[in-house]
Amino acid sequence: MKGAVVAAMAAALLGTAGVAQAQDDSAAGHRTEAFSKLPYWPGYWVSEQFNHTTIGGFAAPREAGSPPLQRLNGFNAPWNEEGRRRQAEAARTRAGRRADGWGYPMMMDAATPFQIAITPEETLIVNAYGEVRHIYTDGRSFPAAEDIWPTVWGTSIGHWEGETLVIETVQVQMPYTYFHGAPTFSEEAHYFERIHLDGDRLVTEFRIEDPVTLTAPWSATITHVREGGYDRMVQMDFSNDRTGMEGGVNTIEPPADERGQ
Amino acid sequence: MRLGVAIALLFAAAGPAVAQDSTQQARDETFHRLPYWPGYWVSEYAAGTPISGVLVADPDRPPTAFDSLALWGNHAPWNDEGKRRVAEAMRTMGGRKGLGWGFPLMMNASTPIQVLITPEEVLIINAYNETRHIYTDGRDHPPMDDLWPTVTGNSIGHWEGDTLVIDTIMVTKPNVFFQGNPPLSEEARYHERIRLEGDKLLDEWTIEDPVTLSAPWKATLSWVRDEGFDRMIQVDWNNDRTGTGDDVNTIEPPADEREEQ
Repeated sequence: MKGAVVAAMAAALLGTAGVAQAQDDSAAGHRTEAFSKLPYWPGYWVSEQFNHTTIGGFAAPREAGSPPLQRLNGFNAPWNEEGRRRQAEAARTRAGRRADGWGYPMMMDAATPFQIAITPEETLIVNAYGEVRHIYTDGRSFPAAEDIWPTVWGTSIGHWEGETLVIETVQVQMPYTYFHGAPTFSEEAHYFERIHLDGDRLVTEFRIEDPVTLTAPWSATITHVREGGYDRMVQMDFSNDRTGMEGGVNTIEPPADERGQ
Repeated sequence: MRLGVAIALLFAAAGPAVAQDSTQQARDETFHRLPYWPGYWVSEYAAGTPISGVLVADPDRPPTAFDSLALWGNHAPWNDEGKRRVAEAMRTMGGRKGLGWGFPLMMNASTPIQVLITPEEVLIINAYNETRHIYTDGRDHPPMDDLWPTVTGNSIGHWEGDTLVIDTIMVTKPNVFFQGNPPLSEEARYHERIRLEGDKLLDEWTIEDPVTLSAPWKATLSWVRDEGFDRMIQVDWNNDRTGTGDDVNTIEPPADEREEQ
């Protein structure tokens, strides 16, 4: 009898282990299957506007006759009265400020390279200043209103339409607060993006809606190219920002190691 | 002859597509073999840290398996230079403000980390935008003339079964970025072995530093999934309320209650 009980227990344990293993294998299989359908966008991407930017911060001139490139700075957005008021205030105060980083959305139109890591549940967009966007593609909705608040990079969900990543982002802090080169959207702005690879370029189609500052949705297309010379992502802690201020205008400070520190 | 040319053309045309498929298949196979460590991990000792940042000791809570302050350096085999630096760090710690956790303490913190595993690279990201890039594509460290110290250093890794083996060099003196970090030199070399054991992530460390240590320093960290996180919310460090006055740290009011803002 005892032997039978032991045998039954062993069988039960084996059965449990077998089921668990099968579940693990099945989950891993589903992840692999999902992964195999996803594109792969390796490289360190910069906005085409900033391709070949030198250490001085200036991009090489583009070839004569190159088509104009769009920007995300909002200069040509359909601002309403409140938007125009904010833009005027931004223009008035911009010169005496120092940025905390690019922030969203400007990190998507920057000279600082970003990389895109794609997994079944989430796509990460990470730039060299450690600014990270988490785009959840696991089918979730946005968190409930009482569990969401404005942050520099907002909250993003996404899904794949073929090889196009479709992103929706909300609850972005007023971008101009973090970086004085950013547009003056409100925290009610809703950002839609469609990212796809076109040859050697990443193309991001933006559509931004903001009932507070815009009269109509604003669309802009940003193209990214792989910046040459990068074989890895080197994270910077923003200590290489040499923006200075003097008499209400921006200046360029000496490098940190030459400031007597 | 024409047929031969036609076949050659056919192969030439099919070549890139076949190569692409083969690369994709290799990525899929690699991905299938990799572990999956979803969740938002905190050092086991720090699990459940409330918004105050002060974890009240719970007498009913079982002790963690490993030294909760393993990477703070209390038990490191410091040599004379190391002891001198530790004493200096203790002397000046009170009047300083951190810029983040930095490496290695971001791995021994109450700020959650996430581990995103792809075939070529593992990213470890915490909620303060500190990102480690661990290249698992077989590369070596860059040559010395293309390397310089950064806050998170340069990491390469490989998989031994389900264990991620990491080698990190060129970390700026960790104590400069955050005063709670061990005062290791930029010549330190950090070896890690990370694996999942049950519901915990374990990380076995060996740190070598000819400048500050008399012997390799070994420590083991354990992480658990912190409760209440359903997503990673990147914080731009504006919630740091560390103040300084008379060389001691104080706690400042929240940013939105300070007069200057």
